[in-house]
Amino acid sequence: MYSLIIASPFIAFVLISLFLQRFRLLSALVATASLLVSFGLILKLFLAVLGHENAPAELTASWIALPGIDFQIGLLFDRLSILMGLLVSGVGSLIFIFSFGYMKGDPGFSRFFAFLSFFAAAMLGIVFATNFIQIFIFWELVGLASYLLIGFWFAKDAAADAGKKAFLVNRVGDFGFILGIIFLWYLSDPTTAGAHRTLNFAQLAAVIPGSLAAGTITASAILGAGLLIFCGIVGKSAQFPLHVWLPDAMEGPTPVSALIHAATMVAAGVYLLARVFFIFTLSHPLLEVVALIGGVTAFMAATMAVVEKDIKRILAYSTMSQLGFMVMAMGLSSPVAGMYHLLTHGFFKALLFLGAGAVIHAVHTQNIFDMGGLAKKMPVTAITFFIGTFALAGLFPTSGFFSKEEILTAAFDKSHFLFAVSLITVFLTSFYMGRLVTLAFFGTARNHHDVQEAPAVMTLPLIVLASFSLVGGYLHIPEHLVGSWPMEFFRNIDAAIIITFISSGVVIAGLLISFLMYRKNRTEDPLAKGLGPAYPLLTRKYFIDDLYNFYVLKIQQPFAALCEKANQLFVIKGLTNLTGEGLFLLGSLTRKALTGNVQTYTLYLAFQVLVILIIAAAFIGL
Amino acid sequence: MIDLTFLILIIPVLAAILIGFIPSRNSGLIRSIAWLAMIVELAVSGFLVYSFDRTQTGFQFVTEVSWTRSPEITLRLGVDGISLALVMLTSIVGFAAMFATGAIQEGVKGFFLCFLALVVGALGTFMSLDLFFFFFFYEIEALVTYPLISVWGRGDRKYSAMQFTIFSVLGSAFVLIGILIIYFLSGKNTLSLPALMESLRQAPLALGLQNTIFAVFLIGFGILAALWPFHAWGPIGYADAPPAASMMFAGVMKKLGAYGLIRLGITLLPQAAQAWMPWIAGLAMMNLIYVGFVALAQKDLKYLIGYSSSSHMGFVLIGLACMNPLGLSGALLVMFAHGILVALLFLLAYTLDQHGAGSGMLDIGGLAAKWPVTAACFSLAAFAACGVPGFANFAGEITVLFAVWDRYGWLAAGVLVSVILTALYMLRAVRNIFFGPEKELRHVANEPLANPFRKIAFVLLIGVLLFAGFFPNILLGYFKQ
Repeated sequence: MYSLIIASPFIAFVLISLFLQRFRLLSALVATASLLVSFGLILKLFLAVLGHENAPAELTASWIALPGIDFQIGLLFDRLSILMGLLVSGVGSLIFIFSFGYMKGDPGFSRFFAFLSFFAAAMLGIVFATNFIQIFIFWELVGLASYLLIGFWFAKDAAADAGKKAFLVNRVGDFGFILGIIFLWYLSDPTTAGAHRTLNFAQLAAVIPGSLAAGTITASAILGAGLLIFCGIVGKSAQFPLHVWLPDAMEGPTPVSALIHAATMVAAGVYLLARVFFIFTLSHPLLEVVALIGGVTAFMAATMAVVEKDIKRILAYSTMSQLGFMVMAMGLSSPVAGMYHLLTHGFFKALLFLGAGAVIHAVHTQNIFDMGGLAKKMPVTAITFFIGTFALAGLFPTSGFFSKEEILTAAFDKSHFLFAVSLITVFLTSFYMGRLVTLAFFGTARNHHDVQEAPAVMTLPLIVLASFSLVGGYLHIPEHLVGSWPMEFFRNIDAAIIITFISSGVVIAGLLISFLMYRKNRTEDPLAKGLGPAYPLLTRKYFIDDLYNFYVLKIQQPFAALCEKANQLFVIKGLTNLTGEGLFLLGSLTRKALTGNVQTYTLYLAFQVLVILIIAAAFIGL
Repeated sequence: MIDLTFLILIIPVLAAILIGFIPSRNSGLIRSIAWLAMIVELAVSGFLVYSFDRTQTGFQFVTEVSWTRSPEITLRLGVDGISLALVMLTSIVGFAAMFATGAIQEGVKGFFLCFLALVVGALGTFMSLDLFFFFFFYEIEALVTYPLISVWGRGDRKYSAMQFTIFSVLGSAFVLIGILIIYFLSGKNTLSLPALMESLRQAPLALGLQNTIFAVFLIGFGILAALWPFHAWGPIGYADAPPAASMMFAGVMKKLGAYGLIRLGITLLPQAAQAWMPWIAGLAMMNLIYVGFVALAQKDLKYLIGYSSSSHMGFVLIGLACMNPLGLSGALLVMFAHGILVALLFLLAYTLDQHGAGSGMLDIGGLAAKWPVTAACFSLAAFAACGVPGFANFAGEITVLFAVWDRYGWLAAGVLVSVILTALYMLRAVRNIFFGPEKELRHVANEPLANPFRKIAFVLLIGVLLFAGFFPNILLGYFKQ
C-alpha cells in the first residue's frame, strides 16, 4: 500500500498527460488528490512513529539484477524520510491548490499539473530511497521535471534557455555524483571478486566505517568518494560554483519556483547530505570543504540579492543563501541543525514565493521598484509575507529564528571564521528582505491602481504556510530528527544565549536600516552609487555566468568545430576517398562503373558478389 | 521441419517473390503486401519471444536445411537470447520503417524488393548458425545499400551510395577472410557455428593466430559497427538514404557489426579477444568523446542523429571490451535500446522533413506550439538519448558504466563525458527546433501526429523503450550465458 506514496502522483501524471489534457479542472483535481493520498499515507506513518510504533520495514523490488550488481527500488521509512516526506507532500499539496488560481486561464493548465505530479513523484522517490542507485534515478527525474517546469512557457526564449541551463548544470554535478556512487560501490568491498558490494544505505553504514578502521580502505578514498558525491549536491542545491542555474530558473511559473526551487527540489541535496552523513563524518577534510562551500555560497548569494530588483530573483538568491547555511551546518557536523533549517525554510520560503506570486498576479511586474503600497490593497498577502520575511530574517519568535540559532551555534563552536561570515550573511538577509518589503508593500502605489487581493484559493495556502512559519519552532522538530543520528549531533540552543542576543541585534539592525534607506528612495537604488565599483560586480553576479558563457562559446564550440574539421579532412576526405580510389584502381572495369549509370553499377555489384561466392565455394571445395 | 526461425526468415522472402510477380504500376498492392509481411513478421517474432525458453542456455528453434555434404554447408538457423533480442529489434524497426515509406513514389516495386532484402539480410545474419550463410546474408545486407541510396536517396546520392557501399563491402571482405582462415585452420571441414564453437573450445587455436584472425574480424565488423575511425561513412549515407532505409541502417545494420564481434570474435577466439580488448576500449572512447564532439558541431538534424548514433555505439563496444558478464549484458541492452531509439529519431526527422520543417536545426524554431504531439515525441526521444532514467538506454548505459569501472577503473569518467555531450546536443536540438518564438512556420503543415495512424509507430517505439527501461530484468533475463 505504501508504494502508493510514489505511485499515486505518478499515476496522476500518466492519466493527465494521456487522457485529461482537455479537461482542465479535472486534471488539477486529479493531481491534487493524488498528492493528498501520498500526504495521508505519510501522515499515517508519522503518527505511527510518534506513537513509538515501529515503522514498516523497508520494501524493495529488484530493478536490475546481474552477476555483480543488484539495483533495487524501495521505500525506506525512518524519522528523517518521514519528516521530509511530510514537508514535500504537505507543502506540495498547498502549492498545487495555489496553482488552481495562479495558472487559471493558462493554455497549458493541464500540462502544468501533469508536470507538477511528475515532479512530486520523483521527489518522493528521492526522499524514500533505500540506496544510491534509486536516489540517483529519482535525482535525474527531478532534474527532468525541473527542466520541463522551468521551460514551461517554452515559447519564451528566456524560459527555454533557463530550462536547458538547469538541466545541463545539474548534469555536470551528476557527472561527479554517479562516479562517486560507483567508487563507493567499489569501496564497500574492494576485493577483486567484490562479491559483497552494495549501494544500500544501511549496509554501507554498517560496512564503510569498519573497513576504514581496519585499514582496507584509506581515508583519502573516503575523501575522494565524498567529494564526488558532493558534486551532485552542489549542482542540485545550487551551491557555488554550480549555482548559476537557480536565478535563471525563475523564468518558470511562480508556483514552480515555490515548489521546486525553494521548498523541495533544491533541498534534495541537503537531504542527501543528511542521509549519507555517515560517510561525510568519516573524513575531516571532507567536512571542511562542505562547510566552506556552504559558507561561501550563503555569503555570495546574499550579496547578490542586495542589488537585485526582480522580486523572484531576490527570493531565489535568498534560497541559495539559506541552502548554503544548511550545507554549512552539515559541514560543521550538525545534521540536525541543517535538516531543521531545511524544514522551517521549506515553510517560509514556499510562503514567500507564493506571496510573491500573488503580488505578481496582481500587479503584472516583477520589479520591486515598480511596486509600492500593496499592504493596503492586499492585506492578507502582505501580513503573511511579513511573517515569511521575519522567519527568513530569523526574528524571534518565528520558526526561522530557532533553526538559524542552531546553525549559528554550530558555527560558533567549530569555526569563528564561518561564524563571522554567517553573521554578516544574517545581516545582509534582513537588509535585502527589508528592502523588498519596504519597496513593495509600503509607500504609495505606482503604475497600478486597480490592484485586488488574490482569491481565496490562493490566500488560503498562504495562511496555512504562515501559521507553520510562525509556530514551526515549537513543534519539537529537532527531537524527532534526533532519532536518525546519534545524540552527539544534537545541541541545545539554551547553551548559547549570547549568540541569540548578537544575532537578534543584527537582524533588527538590518531590517531598520533598509526600511530607513528605502522609505524615501523609491525610484533609484542608493546602493548603485553607494557601493561604487562593487555594484557592477554584484549585478553581474561576480562574472561567473560570463565565465561559463566564455567557456561554451569560445572553448567548447570551437573545439567541436575543430573536431568536425578534422573529421571532414582526415576521416571523410582522407580515409574514405583513399579507400574508394584504392578499390577503384583495382581494375579498369570499375572506372567505367564510376561514370556509368545506376543499372551498370548494380549489375557490377551483383557480379562482384557472385565472384566472391564462387571464390568462397572454390576455397571450400578444395 | 518448419520452425519459427525458418518462418521468420521466409515471410519477407515470400513477400518479395510475390511482389516480383506484380506489375510495377500496381504500386498500391505492392505496398499492401510489404505492410502485411512486416505486420506478420512482427507478430511471429513476438510469438518467438513468447515461446523462447529463458531457463535454457544455448540455441533454440534450430532448423537445418542441408545444401552440400562436403564441405558441409547447411542452412542452419537458431536463436539464443542474444540473437532473439536482435531479431525482435529487426522486426520492430522494420515495421516502424514502413511508416517512413510513404514518400517513395517512384520505383515502388524496386524499393520494396530492396527493403525486404535488407530485412532478410539482417534476420538471416542474426539467426544463421552456419558461417557460410552468416556471410551470405551479411553480404546481401552490404550490397543492397547501393541501390537503396543511389536510386531512392537524395542530395549527392551517387557519391553517398558509393561510399556507403564501399565501406559495407569492404567490411564484409575482411569478415570473409576471417571466416575462411577459421575454416581452414579448424580442420573440421565444417562451417557450422555450434560445431566450431565446440571444437575451438576443446582445442583453441594458437594465440598468435587467434590474434591475427581477431584483428581481421575487428576491422571487418568494426567498419560496420562504426568503430572509430570508421565512424564517418555512416552519417553521410543516413542523411542521403531514404528514411526507411536510414532507420534500418542505423537501427539494425550497425548492430550487425557488434553482433558479429560477439558471435565470431569473442565466442570463437576468446584468448585473442582478451588481448585485443584494451584496444577496442580505447577506440570506443574515441567514439564516445571525439565523435560526440563532432555531433556537437552539426547543424543538420540528420547528421546530428547519425553522429550521435556512431558515438553511442561506443557504449556497446566498450561494454563488450569489459569482457565480463556485466559488460556484455549492458552492451546488449544498449544495442537493443539504441537500435529502437535511433529508428525513432530518424522517423521523427522524416516526419519533420516530410511536413515542411526541413532538417536544418537553425532554420526552424518554436514548432512546439503548432506540433505539440511531435514535440512531445521528439523530447521523449531526446531524453532517452540523454540517458534519463525510465528509458532502456539508461538501464543499459549505467550497467556498462559499472562494468567499465570493474575492468578499467577511472576510464568510467571518460565514458561519462559522452553523457554530458549527448545532453548538450540533444537538448540544443529540442531547444532550436521546438522552443522559442515561432518563426518561419508558414510553409509548415499542420500537426502530422494528429493522424492516429501515424502515431502507431511512435507509440510502439517509445513504449518499447519505456517498458524495457522500467523492467530491464525481463530483457536481461534472455542474455544469460
